[in-house]
Amino acid sequence: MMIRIFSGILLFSTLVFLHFSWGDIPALGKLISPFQGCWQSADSPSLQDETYDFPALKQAVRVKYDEQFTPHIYAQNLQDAIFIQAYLHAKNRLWQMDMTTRLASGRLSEVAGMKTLETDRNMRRKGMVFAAENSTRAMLQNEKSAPIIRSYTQGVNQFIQELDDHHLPLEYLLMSFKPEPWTPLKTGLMLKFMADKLSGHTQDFELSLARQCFPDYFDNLYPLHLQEEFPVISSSSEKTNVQQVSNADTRPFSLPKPIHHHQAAHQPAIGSNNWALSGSRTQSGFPILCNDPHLPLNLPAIWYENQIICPEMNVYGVSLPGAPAVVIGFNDSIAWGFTNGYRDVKDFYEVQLNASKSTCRFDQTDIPLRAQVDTIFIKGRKPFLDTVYYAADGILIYDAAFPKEGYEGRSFLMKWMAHRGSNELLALLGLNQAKNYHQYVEAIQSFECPHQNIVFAAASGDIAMWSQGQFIHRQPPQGRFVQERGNLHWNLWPMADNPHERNPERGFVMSANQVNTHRSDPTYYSGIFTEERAKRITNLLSANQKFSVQDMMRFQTDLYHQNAADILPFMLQQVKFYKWSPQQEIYLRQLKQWDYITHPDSVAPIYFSLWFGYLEAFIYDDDFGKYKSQLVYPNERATIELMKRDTLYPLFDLKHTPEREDIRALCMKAFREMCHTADTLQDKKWYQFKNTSVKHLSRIPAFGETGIRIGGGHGIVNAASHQDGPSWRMVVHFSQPIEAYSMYHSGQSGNPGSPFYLNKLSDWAQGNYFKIRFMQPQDFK
Amino acid sequence: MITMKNVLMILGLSALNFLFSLYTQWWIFVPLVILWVALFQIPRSRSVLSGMAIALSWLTMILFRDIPNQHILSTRMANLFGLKGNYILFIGFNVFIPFLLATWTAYLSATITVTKDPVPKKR
Repeated sequence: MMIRIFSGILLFSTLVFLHFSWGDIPALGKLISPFQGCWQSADSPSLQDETYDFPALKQAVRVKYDEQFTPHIYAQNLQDAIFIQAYLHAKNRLWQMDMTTRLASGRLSEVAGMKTLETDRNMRRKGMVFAAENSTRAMLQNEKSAPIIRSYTQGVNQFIQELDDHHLPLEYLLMSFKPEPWTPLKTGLMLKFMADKLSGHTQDFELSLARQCFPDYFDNLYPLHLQEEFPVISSSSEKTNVQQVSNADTRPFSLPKPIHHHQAAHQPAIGSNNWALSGSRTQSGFPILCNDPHLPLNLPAIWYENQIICPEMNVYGVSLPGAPAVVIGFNDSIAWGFTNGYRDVKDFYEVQLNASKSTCRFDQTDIPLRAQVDTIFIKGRKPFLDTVYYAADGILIYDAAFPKEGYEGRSFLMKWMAHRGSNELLALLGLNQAKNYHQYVEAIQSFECPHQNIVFAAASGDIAMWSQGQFIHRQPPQGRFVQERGNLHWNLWPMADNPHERNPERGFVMSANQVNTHRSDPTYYSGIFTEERAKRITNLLSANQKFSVQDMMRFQTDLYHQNAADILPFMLQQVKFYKWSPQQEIYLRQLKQWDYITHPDSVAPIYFSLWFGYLEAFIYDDDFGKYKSQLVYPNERATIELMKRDTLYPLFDLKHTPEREDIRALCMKAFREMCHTADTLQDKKWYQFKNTSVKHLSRIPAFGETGIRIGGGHGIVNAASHQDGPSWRMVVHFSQPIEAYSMYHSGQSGNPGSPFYLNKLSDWAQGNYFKIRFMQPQDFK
Repeated sequence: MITMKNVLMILGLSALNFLFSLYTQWWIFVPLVILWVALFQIPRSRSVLSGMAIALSWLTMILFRDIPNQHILSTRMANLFGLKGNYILFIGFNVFIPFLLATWTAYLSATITVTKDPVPKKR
């Protein structure tokens, strides 16, 4: 009898265990049930045309799919088209949209538990919701964007209403939560999430510390301008309406407490390329525009490819799931694309809080603060309360309750351009509908943050580039360092004066995250700029020939290592007189014979990457000393210029040795280290070494791929590095009819069980393109 | 023993579970098996038939989803469950769970509701 009772209890307990989720363990019974669980996500490849006739639509909307599962939306008005775009976003990417907005608003802990609490606090301290609320208000107050954002919200909610418990997307089952209704604020959060990704990273703390530690070397290590530059605006020396700058604020920065977590960081690896060729530089005589934004190679992809056809526009390109309209693309008349501008639009100010925290003091001025108590709900725990203080001009990002590591006991106010109530959606809508250069310029006037280099080409023959955003008039060294005096007021730069060029004499415009303007431009600005891809692209496009679409594809997938080409011969020169071991000679020979092409199966890029990495460590680590974890290595191009310019630069001397090292000694030491490491690599190829991976947002390894066989890498035009790379490649040729090609790293569906989840990966890795089907209204008749 | 009666029993319970599972919770086979055993006085020695019936209904639905999907989802789930991408193993695991639970339920139910096991017929 007892055995029966025990057996019954055990059976019941097993059923209960399988029915509910326990911490990170999902409800397994429901998950594996073929009637309601993961098997509902086993999509079959169907490309059937669809007609939608929801009550909220004014007229029926038709959707045709091409073989890549790209929807071509045909509607009788723009609002209906946006409604269906939103519906399809939700149908294919709902979990991604949900999680991204949760991340942006500091609400991940509600579904992920304690492990994301610090991330949530950080996002809230950045004022992401504050920024999104301001922008959402602006979008809803504008007569053009308001109906669009409302239609978009309705479209997403239409899909959410149709969802029942038996058909939840797989990730919801694994994380055991359900989607909540979409709101305009969530769209605002999506746009601010991108602003944070692209303009949220600054080096104010690192550079303040570096300036304090190396006052004599700072300008050489972290120069505002490199010796060799290829500015975005090639004809940028005749600026008007700019102020001459003067030196100010060299007050010492109080040193932080040292921390010892990790090595000094490198500058962020993400970047992008775009360019446009005028008809005079193409074989056909028609302009060509290319763009490949480099972003984290996440799954699902950050982009969703689609075409919207309605009386107001016929536009093709990629949209951001969670926001309406096409972000990068082309229409019948124009094409446009983006690269990150990287100009610094985020400032930090060290302030002293008063006892009651009702004000803080900055440079003899008391700034009133408004306290807001944020409640962070945590799965399986009690809510966490965090008080965040807002000033009229910023937000108290770090204080005693949320200190910056190493800066405990100090308070910092942050001011960020993204906090302004800008309406970037209006800019996107304008670009989607623009017919010519003037409409393009008019459209981008509402694009304030993040700073973007917006390339343009038109069927009429125009090409152009605007380095666009809302910038700030600054006095050096404002904005570059944590400020301890001055004032919080920003004088905004008139957007009409933003750097730009139209139809330049050289026949092309180009940007690749490099410096915006020539060093002769007297305007002071700072940012994180890189020049190596700009140099390579400039060299490619400056060749004395006329280009085809195939050339453009070849350039976008170019594997030439510009930095290696510029410094490796010098490094080899430093080590050539020494008698190396036979194995070391083999490494040297492979480096000497290298053509600087980072082919996936090559090994020389591994040796160069290791060698240069060790060299940087030898040059800087002993000088960085106890602040190694809190400093950032100089730009690689700055290091290269320094090595070539002064082989006896004082920083090259290793502090812990009695000898006086020069660059030759460091090259030798670094080469030996490289050989030791290379001996352990067991015939690894370049692609295995850099391990380009596409990872699911949930970080579930089973939903991603690692070790993708692709060349390129950090600093290379085909920038496929470990987890970042070309998130979308587009080539648009304004022939008649328009000829366009695209590619990205995953697929249209966000469902790991769909045939269209990762169907493009191998073509992307091999540098193949799909020809875009740019449909016309008559294709739907 | 494979008899027509056993086959019909399996098919009947399987069809019933299939139907109910479409509209209710995944554990619906538990009360179904209890009722089935009580109603037809199925002895403990034949508990495994109930397990087979439920497993069959799950397998049918799985194949209905998996074959058109070309095993994409099952392969990913197999990776997720540490089965090295072997979708057959994942399907086997997926069917074994309801088989085990249904057999267990039938056995317990028979212990309580069925008076005794039938005596095997002499030849």
